[in-house]
Amino acid sequence: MKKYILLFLPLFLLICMVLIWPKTVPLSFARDNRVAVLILGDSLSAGLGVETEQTYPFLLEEMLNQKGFTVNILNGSISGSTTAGASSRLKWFLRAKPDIILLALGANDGLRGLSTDKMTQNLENAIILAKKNGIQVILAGMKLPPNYGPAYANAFETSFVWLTQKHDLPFIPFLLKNVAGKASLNQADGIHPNPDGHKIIAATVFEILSEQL
Amino acid sequence: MLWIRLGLKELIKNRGFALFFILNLTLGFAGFIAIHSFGRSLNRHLDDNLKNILTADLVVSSNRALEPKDLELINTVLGAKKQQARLISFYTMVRAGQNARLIRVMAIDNFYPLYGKFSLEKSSEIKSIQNTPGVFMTRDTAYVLGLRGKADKNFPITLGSKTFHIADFFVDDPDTSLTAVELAPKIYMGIDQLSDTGLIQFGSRIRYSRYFRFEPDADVPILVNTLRQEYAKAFPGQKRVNIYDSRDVNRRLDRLTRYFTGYMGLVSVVSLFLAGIATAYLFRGYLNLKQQEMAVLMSIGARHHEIWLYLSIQLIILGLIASILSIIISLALVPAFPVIFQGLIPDQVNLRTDPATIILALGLGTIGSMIFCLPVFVRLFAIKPLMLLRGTSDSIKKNTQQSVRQLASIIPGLAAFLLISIFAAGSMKNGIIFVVGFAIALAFLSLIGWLLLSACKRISHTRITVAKIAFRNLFRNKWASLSCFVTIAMGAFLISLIPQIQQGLQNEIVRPEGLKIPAFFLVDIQDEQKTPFIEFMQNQEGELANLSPMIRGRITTKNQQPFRHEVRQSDDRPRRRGGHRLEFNFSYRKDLDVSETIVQGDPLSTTPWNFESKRPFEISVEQSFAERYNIQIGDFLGFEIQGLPFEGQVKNLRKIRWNSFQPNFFLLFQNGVLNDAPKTFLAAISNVPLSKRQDLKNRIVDAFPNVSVIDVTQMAGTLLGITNKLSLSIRFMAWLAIAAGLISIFSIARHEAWKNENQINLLKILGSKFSEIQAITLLEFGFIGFTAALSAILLSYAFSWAVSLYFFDSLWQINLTLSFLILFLTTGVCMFTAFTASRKVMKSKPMRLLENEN
Repeated sequence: MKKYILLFLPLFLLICMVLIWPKTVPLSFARDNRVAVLILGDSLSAGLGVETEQTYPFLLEEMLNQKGFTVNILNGSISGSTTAGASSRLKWFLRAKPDIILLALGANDGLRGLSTDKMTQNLENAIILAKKNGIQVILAGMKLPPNYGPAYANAFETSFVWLTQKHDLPFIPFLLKNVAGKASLNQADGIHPNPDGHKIIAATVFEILSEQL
Repeated sequence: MLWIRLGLKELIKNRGFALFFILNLTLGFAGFIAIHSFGRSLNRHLDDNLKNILTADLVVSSNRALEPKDLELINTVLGAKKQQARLISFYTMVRAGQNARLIRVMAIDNFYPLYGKFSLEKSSEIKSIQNTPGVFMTRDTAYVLGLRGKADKNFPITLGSKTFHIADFFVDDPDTSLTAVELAPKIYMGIDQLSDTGLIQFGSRIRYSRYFRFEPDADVPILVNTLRQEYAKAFPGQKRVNIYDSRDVNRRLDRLTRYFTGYMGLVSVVSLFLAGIATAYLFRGYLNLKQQEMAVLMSIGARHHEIWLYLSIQLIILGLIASILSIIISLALVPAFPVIFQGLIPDQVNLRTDPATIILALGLGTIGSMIFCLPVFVRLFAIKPLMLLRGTSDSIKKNTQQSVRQLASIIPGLAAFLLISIFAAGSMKNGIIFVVGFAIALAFLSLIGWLLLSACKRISHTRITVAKIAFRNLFRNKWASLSCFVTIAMGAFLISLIPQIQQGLQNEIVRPEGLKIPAFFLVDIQDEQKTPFIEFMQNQEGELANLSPMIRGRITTKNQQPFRHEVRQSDDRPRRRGGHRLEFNFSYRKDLDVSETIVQGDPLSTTPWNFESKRPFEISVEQSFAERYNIQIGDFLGFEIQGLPFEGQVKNLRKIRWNSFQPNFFLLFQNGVLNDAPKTFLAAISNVPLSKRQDLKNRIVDAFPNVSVIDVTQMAGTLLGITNKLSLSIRFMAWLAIAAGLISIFSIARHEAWKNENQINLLKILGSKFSEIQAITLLEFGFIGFTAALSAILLSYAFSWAVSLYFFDSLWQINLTLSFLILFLTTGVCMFTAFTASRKVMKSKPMRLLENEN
């Protein structure tokens, strides 16, 4: 009995929170007629080490609007985040009523050597939650540096492919395409893109995102 | 030669006094050598500790393999006299049987480590993993990989596309890196075995490090700076490599070691001044006693330089003997400190008498005598012999030329003090500050002494005979009493400077009460995992502490201005690796942690912030963060958290003791702001028995696979070991300085009491009772000792506060216990020496004492 109470308690609290939230939060995500795109990512999308105006989400919005799209990009990325928090974070952003979500998580799971099965499950939960709320999902794939070993790196990479195929999602095979491993496009830590790197990522994402708009 | 011979004969003739003089001076010097040697030994020990942590003097590391042009530049700057070792490190998934785990590969060459060593179960050589595919790991790591029971060296471990075996198990490894949080256990392998693994390819995230060890006399900080400058010149705008030394070993220790070095400098200067005061006082006292002798010699036609030679040779011989004796005592005593003061000083410190200190003591004893006595020589040579014979030289009016000469004679003494202060303090600026502070204190105490001794005339108008005589004596011999007062006061002032700073530093360094040292840090506990995790830990061995929410975001504005501009203007520190620090972690907590204290402003409101209030919420900012970004109380900060804009106002500044090893944050928000935002939790686990740690770690990873469990046992152990050593040393140094100071005061008081013997004798001849003579002497010396110590202690409060404000970030706290101790011991020492002097006089025949005088 106790076990059931424990299981239902968080759910009950969540329902209460959702019911109470709109009444107590005047600060809300500005919603207008533009297409709302939520980027749910990690440090690569949060723009660790670069100014907000240099991050690819910011550049992407500029590029899309210049091309005549009316898009509002909401960057909900957190440095260091893993897929474990994907669903709970998405719940917070549901209030922003996003039309499209770019799911760009998983890099930290890989770098920390976490289970790829668990990562896939976390991402899938987020995808299901988004779809239930009528949000179109774009999945950003990721690759691990070769030093993680071929077995793990392959398992990691194919997780994204599997999810894409299962849920029939638009897919960016590798978010850091043409950026990863290049010293001139990365910061001194060798892993986070610099402003030039962010420009290339913006172009990569633009290609897929513009097709969905 | 004649004058030298005469000088020697004079010493032999008055050997009783000479011995007494030497003994006093020896005590003063011995204290100085002990303090200096202890301080320098500790500094050396701390330096060695940091080098062992770094395993080198200097490290160059990079995310890419160093190219020939890098190596050429490094070799040009660092020179040929160096040893070097290579390390290539990276994370990878290691597979052993059915298990795959993240580990950190440490590929080393035969020369690694340059400092420190492996502690291997089978004492294998590093070579054994160079030629064969073997690895070193801990038994815990082997257990995680699935190896159970006894060591099976054939247990296969796959790294990339190569299979390795366990060559040996290490209990301790040389890499006690404290700079980064280690996500995974380490496995050591030979650098030559790396190429076959296939793990190093384009895109691999690898750290290439070169370690350098230099000759002991190399100036490492200069080499580091030169290499950094040369890199900036050769590759402008490129961040090719990181160059660091033991100073960068750990930022947590940075502030503490800075405090410790500053404190050691202060204690060194104090001990030096104490020795200087005692030396100058005794030498000048000796010379003043020789006034009549000088007058006689001048009357019979001896030239000034001959008299100078005659007296100087006596001073130098006395000083030299005293220095040598004090060196012998120190050589025997200092190495015995660990035995004598077992438990009071850190273990494993190789204490030895420092050669530089020995030279300084010899210099003080010989050249010091001439420098300190120069003003006395100048004064005495400037007046007529007859005046000297009358003993009225003090009241003689000087002409302008004599005054200038007199003033000029002080300069060598001051210059010598300044030079050795700079040497002891380790910096010109600090040396000058100490000397100026010393001069101000001297002037202030002289004024207090003069006022007190002037007041003695009024106090002496009493019916109590003993008090009448005692205070009249003090007033009549005002200048001699003043000299004694000032010297004792300066001694007490110097030693009571230390306790206030020591108390402040001690409180900063020692672990706060109630603080538990964590074994694990837990990262990335999800919001929905919080309750299950708490419940999980209730059934485990170990205590979950400080479960802190963490929300990441950006600071966008400060007082409605873009925050990044503020950062650029005020942040002159080297940029962090990885670029600007634009994202920060925020948190909130009901009560402050024991490692936190509000230093400015009021506590944050406990009432949850109301989103509808449209008022900014309250923020608590960490002190050093506020300094770095020029944030003041009342400033408005704008934030972007999870896509939402927020605004808050700084309510207080908080000090964090980062060495407390608790999850702490630069910015804490008022309750209610972030409570519902998506967040993760950090936590610490303490009180886990060593044997249960690996089990607990495995259980956590199994139950909460996304939670990273970071073992901080080694890091905490290393850091706490160092901080405990610092704390012990600081306390011991304070006691040592007080003891050395009291010895100096004792030697001064003994000399002063000896000078008073004639006066006591006179009272005896006049028929005073022994009890009366004793009471008069005790009152005189007790009054001087007590008033001098009291004024010195009060003055030292103001000075130590100023010193702590300037050097130790206001770490200051009155140490009443030690202040009272200094007050009573100084008074006690003065009274005791007076008491023994009066007893000696009472036991001697009056005629004998008069004979001695003549």
